[in-house]
Amino acid sequence: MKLHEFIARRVILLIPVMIGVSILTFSLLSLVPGDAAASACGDKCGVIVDIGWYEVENETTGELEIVDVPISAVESNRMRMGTEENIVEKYMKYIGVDGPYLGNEYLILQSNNELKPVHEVGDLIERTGLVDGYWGDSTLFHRPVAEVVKDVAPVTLEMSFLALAIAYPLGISLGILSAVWQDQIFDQLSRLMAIAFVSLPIFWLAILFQKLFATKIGICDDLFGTSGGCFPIFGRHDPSLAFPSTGYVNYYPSEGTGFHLIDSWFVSSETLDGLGSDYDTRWELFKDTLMHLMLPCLTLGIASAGGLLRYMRASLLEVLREDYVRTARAKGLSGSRVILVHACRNALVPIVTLLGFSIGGAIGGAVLTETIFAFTGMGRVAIEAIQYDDQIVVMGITLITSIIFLLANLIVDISYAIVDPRVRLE
Amino acid sequence: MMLDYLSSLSLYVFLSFIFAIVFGVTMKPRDTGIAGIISILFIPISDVFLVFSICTIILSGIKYSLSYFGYSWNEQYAKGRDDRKESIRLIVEGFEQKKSDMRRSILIFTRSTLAVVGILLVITVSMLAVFAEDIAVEHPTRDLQDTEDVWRIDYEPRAAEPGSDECRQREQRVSLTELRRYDTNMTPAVSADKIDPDTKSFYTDPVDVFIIIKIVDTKGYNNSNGLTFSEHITIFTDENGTDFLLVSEELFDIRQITTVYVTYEFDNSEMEVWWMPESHNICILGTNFEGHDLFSKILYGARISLKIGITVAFMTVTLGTIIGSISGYYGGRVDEFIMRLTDVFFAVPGLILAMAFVAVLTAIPRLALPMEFAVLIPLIFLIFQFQSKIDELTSGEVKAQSNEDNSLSQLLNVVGLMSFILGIVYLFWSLWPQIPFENSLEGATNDDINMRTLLICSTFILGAIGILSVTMKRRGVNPKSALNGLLNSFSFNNPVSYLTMRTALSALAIFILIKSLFTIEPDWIIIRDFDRLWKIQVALIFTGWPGYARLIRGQVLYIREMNFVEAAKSVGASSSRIMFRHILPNAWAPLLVAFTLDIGGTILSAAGLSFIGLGAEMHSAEWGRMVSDGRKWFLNEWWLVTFPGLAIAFTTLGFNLLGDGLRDVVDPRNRR
Amino acid sequence: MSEPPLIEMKNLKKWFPIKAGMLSAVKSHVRAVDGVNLSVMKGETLGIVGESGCGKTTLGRVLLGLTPITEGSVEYNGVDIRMMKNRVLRKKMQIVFQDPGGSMNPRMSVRSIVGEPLIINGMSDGAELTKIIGELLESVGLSKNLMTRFPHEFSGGQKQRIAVARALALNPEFILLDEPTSALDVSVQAQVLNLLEDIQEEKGLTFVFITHSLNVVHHISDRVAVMYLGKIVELSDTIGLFENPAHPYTHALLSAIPEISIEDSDERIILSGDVPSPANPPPGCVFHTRCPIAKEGVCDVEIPELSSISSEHLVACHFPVEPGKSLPIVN
Repeated sequence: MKLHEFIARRVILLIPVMIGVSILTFSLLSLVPGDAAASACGDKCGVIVDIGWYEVENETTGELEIVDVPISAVESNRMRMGTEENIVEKYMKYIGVDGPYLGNEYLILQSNNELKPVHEVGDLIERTGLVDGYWGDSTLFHRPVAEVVKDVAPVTLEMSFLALAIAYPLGISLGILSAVWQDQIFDQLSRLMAIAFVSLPIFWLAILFQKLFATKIGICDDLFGTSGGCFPIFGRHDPSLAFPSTGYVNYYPSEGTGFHLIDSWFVSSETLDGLGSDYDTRWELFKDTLMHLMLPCLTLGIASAGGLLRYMRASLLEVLREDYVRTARAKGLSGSRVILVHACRNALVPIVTLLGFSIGGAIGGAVLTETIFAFTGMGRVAIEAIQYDDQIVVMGITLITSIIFLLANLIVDISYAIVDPRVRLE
Repeated sequence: MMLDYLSSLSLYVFLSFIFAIVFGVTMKPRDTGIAGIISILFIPISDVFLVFSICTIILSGIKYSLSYFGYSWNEQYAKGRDDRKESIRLIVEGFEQKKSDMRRSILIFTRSTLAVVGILLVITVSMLAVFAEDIAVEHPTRDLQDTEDVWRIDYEPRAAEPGSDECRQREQRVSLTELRRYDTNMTPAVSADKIDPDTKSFYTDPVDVFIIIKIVDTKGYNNSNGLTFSEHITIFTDENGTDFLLVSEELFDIRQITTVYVTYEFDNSEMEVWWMPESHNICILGTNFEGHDLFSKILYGARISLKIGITVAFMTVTLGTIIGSISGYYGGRVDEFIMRLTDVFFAVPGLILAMAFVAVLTAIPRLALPMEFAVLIPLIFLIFQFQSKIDELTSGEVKAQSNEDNSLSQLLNVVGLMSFILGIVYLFWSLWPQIPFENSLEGATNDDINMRTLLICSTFILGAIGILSVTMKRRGVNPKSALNGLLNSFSFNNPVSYLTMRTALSALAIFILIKSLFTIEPDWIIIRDFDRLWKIQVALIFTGWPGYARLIRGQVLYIREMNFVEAAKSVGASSSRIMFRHILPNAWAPLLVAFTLDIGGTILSAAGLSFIGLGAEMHSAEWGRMVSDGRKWFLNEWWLVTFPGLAIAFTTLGFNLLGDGLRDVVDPRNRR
Repeated sequence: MSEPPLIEMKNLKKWFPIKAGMLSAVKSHVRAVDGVNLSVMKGETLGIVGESGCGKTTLGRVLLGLTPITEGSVEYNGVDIRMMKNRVLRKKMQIVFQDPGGSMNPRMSVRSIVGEPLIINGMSDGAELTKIIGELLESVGLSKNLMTRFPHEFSGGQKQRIAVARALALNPEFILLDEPTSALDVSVQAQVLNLLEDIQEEKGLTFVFITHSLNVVHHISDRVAVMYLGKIVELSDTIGLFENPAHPYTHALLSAIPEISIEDSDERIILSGDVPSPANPPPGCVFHTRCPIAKEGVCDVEIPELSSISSEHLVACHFPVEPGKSLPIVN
């Protein structure tokens, strides 16, 4: 199988899964009892959001007159969401494959006193549905869900990626040492540690780290002479940066990636000038973001490293039993060279394939660290949305996580296939 | 009342019937009759004996009449006696075999120190959970599943440090305004509000005050208007030994002072528990700002966590095993569909998916099945049981060829199929809405119940006829011989042979049906109080099953190709027999490991969900919630976070270590 | 030929589809059994020999109805087995598998293993069942006290005896022996073979004996069929086959039997090339790619029919070797 064939196949295989996830979120949303149109506007249902009209014949002149009709939010929602009873039609509407949808609808009063939606020629065509990027409106944040998700997803992702960047070196190196010194004290200890890492509640560990590394009572002040710990206690960046002297503006470029570690390098010089003296270089901004990320990522990383350690150990032990390793030893290569060059290269392969899954685990764990370190990421927003019964936001977050997860796995698989052509042949 | 009586009577009938059969069939007809007559003497004790005696006497009558028609009872009895002995011998031998298996497993298990540590941890936590009531110094006086906040207090406690003796101190609010209103200068020293478990009402106990430590006003000052409070509030003990807080005349007269808080040391009898040495009644793990003893809360928290962990793991295993074995055994389209479904579930990280489920479940007040479904499930189960029984029986009597059907079986096929289809259509589309399932307690009449009984029985009979005829058509059996086989198959004389899962499940199904005949609820309630703890459990079950489904599917696919499965097929074993007797018993090993590890994982996830505020309510004794509640004060009151967290960590660690140890035990490389 | 055969296979085919591609389209078929005509007489032992992968095991499975037939039919006593109820069939036809350990559920006691057929078919229960199982075990030379043991406690030969007992439990008329001795030591092989012969004599059973070992076939069979790539290439009574093999493939097989003798035996015929893939069998005679006497234009075009060269001897070859002659050695 050629590489492009392999990639095409993998991408095509994603489609049914994505459809499945959309069906899942749709059915979960359908399970929520009550009027969807009413729940989408919450306590603002009575607000007049639009003016409809109808024609009526003037009794005296006999001419047609236009009478305006106020349309409340709930009526507007009802029109937008449609009144399809058929579950399949509803689903089609949800994912937005029922064709273009005409926006700016107006109402006409029918003879039986019911409002009937009509549309005018030349109105804007507004498409609604998941595939068009319309994921519903959040009643809690008063914004489209897609926008909310777009804002918060990078926060979680940045945290997860950095956490894996900590977890992988940590897990792999401990795993290698553990395998090399199999059944010795270090091995026993690190195996116990691995189990302990996966057994520790992340949220608890995070609070302990906060106390240890980010407060006066912690160990930092004594050891390193810092005041108030080595790391900031919570937040995504220094509070002074959120309100620069120029007023309530975001100092990061608005069209940035959302990953502040990257964005900090692309801050315009005017913005930099507007910042306080502590943050007059891009490096300072970057450092600030990194320092704020350190503790949450360390927590998450440790939790993920436990599993990796065990996998790496098992994988390396298996490889060390292989003949070619014995051959390499017999050739007279030094022990460390055999392990690092010959064995590890092969033992790492299954670990790398775990990367896709680890991202899922890290995103799940990030829900907890976000809460503790006050990062407005997906987890925190989802929790808030659940507390205010804004299910559509939760489903939006579920969708975006699954997309990220699937794409991550896809990328891992493809890069794996590039490195190791045998995979493609399966 | 009437309905209640009927409902319990149905239980009586059912149980007595079972007893009577077990009792009656093992005896000769004459002895059965005597037993029935003797049990008449016991009727005054309980109604059960009435039913019992009726059943046994009828049974003995049947036996006599059978022997009258030439049925040799003595011969049957002799055969039954041998069979009974044989069955019991087999059971005993089975246990012996299990015992030696266990011994070997324990040997492998104890080789690993970590595994032993793990099992010790698990045992310790389980013991603490079981005996929480006896060990804990403070009783929440409620079922902790019920997350209503009743750890309520009306005074302002302080968080006591671990090991401090501040647990013996209590700060009581004394409202001077109230005293003035009732024109008394004494107020009894009472404990904090407690809840009466029976009436659910609040009450207080008088306490023995030793010494007053501190008195402050609402602003926290210990003196006001030139008065030092400690001089003006004293302890007064009346002739009954009840302690009062006595307010002096001067203080009583100063109208500006409305409330004071009195801190005193008292005889905290609740803290005196059997396992603490005399006069060492300290809060070992401290208290929180609500004055709850942390140690007790953690003990009760163990109950919640273990309950959640085991329930969720058990349910996910069951669900996953059912789905996975269907997927693996049938393969093809079913397999494809289920695997795509698991793909979808795997595409969303577990905790996020669980949150999505919780989000939806928040809107659902209770978990219930519509009664129609609740009745249909046991019905369908019974019908299929009947079918497999018929299947088993008729196989011995089948003819070589199916095309030489006689006209009777042809007729029966047609009638049976028709009645089966008609029955289903009839029940679903025309009659279900009219069945009085929806009636309230007042509305249900005897007619309704009769109607319901009639419907359930007719569905069963129609279904049974349908299944019977379909089976016979497939096998080409002579209906007469099939019925003969059915009658002869029931080994009336060997009740031991019915000690199977199948019988137990059938009995359960019958029991559910009888119960639901007399239920006035509109639906079959699975969880009445579907609170947030239940919601996270359901969410975790729904997110957890795909892993097991895949695991079991893999196992089934692997074992299905083994020779002994083909050997079983070659002797004519049915699919269900192959599944339950051959495949699943050989597939449980990795399942057990996953199950153990999953208990730990679930405890962790549930605590996480509670921590972020989706699980247990505030101040409830749930470990995750306790960490979350104590987080605000973690800088100084470090124990509020540390101990519950350690409890989670140790419990999870225990299960993980245990799982690892079990993995070694079930690893085929470690077996012979 | 006065008596009708017990089992008759008519143009029996079993093709396994090879699936490939995204939509699992069927690309081609593995022709495991490809047009077999064979009949088994009541009371005889028919040996089926061939190299591994020639389809003999599949033939056995199809014969018993354990895998569905692609084309053709198997008739038992004149009745198509597909018309027969599964459980009837099981009571008439039984099988003993090659791997005695693997064919027994490791979690079942001997009692359950041997008794399972009886329980499934509702033939016996309780104390009576234990008695029957005891008799069955004794009939295969095992003590009935072993009933409570588990398969892993037995040696290979004992396991195979248990497997025979299980096959006998339903009192079948026919037993398929699928390489029952290949997993056993030579000394144990002989014991099991003798046991099988004794049982056959006692109960008047019919055997089909599938094996790759010509020695065993020679020992036990009345007639022998030689299989190559899903087809029967030669069918004869045992003596006829071993004395006067007609098909070049049979010659090659027979010459491969290791013999301990002082005098020089015939030179061994070493077949050139590999067995062709059953997914893509060669045209004409399937053996022509390896046949030392194949003639171009005949063997690679025309499929030879199974035709008789004497009363009890059938061969599917265009140029059968004359009796008494040996195969011309090419290179």
